[in-house]
Amino acid sequence: MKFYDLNLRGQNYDNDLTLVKEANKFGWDYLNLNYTPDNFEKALEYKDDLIGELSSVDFNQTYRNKKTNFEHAELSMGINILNANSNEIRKIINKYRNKSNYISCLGGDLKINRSVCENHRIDVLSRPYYKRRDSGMNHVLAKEAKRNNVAIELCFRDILNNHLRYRANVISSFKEILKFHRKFKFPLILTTDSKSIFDVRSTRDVVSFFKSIGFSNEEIYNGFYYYPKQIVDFNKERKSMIVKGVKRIDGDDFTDTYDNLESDLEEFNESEDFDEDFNYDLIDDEDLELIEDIGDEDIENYLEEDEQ
Amino acid sequence: MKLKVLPPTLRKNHHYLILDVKSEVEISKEDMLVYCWDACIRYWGENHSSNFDLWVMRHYLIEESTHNDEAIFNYKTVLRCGRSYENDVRVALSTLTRQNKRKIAINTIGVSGTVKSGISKFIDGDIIQ
Repeated sequence: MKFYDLNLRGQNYDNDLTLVKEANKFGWDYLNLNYTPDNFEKALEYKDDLIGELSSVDFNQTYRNKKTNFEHAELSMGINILNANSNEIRKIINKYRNKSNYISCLGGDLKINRSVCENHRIDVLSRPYYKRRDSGMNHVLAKEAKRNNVAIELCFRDILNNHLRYRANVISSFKEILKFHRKFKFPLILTTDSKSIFDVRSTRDVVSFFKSIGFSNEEIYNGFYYYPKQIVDFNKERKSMIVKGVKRIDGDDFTDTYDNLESDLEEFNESEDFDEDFNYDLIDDEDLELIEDIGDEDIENYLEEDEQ
Repeated sequence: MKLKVLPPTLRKNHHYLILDVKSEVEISKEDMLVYCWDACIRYWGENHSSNFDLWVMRHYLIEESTHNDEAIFNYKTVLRCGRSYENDVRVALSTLTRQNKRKIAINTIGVSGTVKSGISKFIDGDIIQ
């Protein structure tokens, strides 16, 4: 399994470089930097430099796992639309859909939530619970999100930046959206929305958090790998999609049956446990010696000594 | 009078978390213990945190750097916790963001059965003498 983080907050070259290096260090395999529409084209100019710097990082200086991680994280850039109304969103989509592989829109306002869920040209509705007391979702929006294949995004940074009853409120929203996801099966993605290196957490820490609030292994797998990868792969081929369900195929790629097409998307394995990789660290030779050394007689001797 | 040491079978079992700590200000070993307890009690409550049995075993300064004119102190810490509660502790630590109005970030980079093996696997070579 690879870990996708589709929402890192991009700002400028220096900040982005530190952020990307830090995320790479803690085991993230695919990083997507999000910019406002105004900053997006400036950011594209230094994208290659960022990728070059990232690939020169020494693997041994990171906490990446040889078994599960890529050697280096992949990098892409996308657009995050903030504080816009439905009309503005439509204009931005028309302008940037062909230029960007990832477009998300910040939710929170009910009208925005609804118009984004109904728009199949947007990939992600980000944080529908933003600045709200409820989750910002209901069964109608859930059905629309499923029909138009719009993913709903939950950000770990909302947990970090809120405290006490506000944090409890966010967790409650996460749980409610998870309940809708279980019933209506819309894509649900999990991201960190890191802005500085103090927001970056290791993949295992974030997984443990989502487990602690009630996500199952399969939901975590889907949220960090399956749905993000689907979005990324779909957008690579979006240009050749004529209408929904119809795709233009070049002569070389054409096959009579789709059985021959191989996907590199790994299936979820029910026995997959995210703790497995660490288990080998836990048994130490000294522990084993200690266990072998102690017999029943020793225990009795200890107890007798205590009684005396 | 000092209590007699418990026989090994009656002792609590522990595992050791290796932490990567980033902070805006210097952190002492004592501060680190307070921060860990605070994070656990805030996230899990007093009842569940009572199982964790936290103690800071080692605390090393690894690097001192600046970013955007702000100092960043990087530490590595060995934190003792109760066996089978490693995940609960790491969740609580990862949700800690500020202490005394100063930014702090704690990541768990490994779990080990003994302090010695934890240090040799995750910390050796990084320590500033």
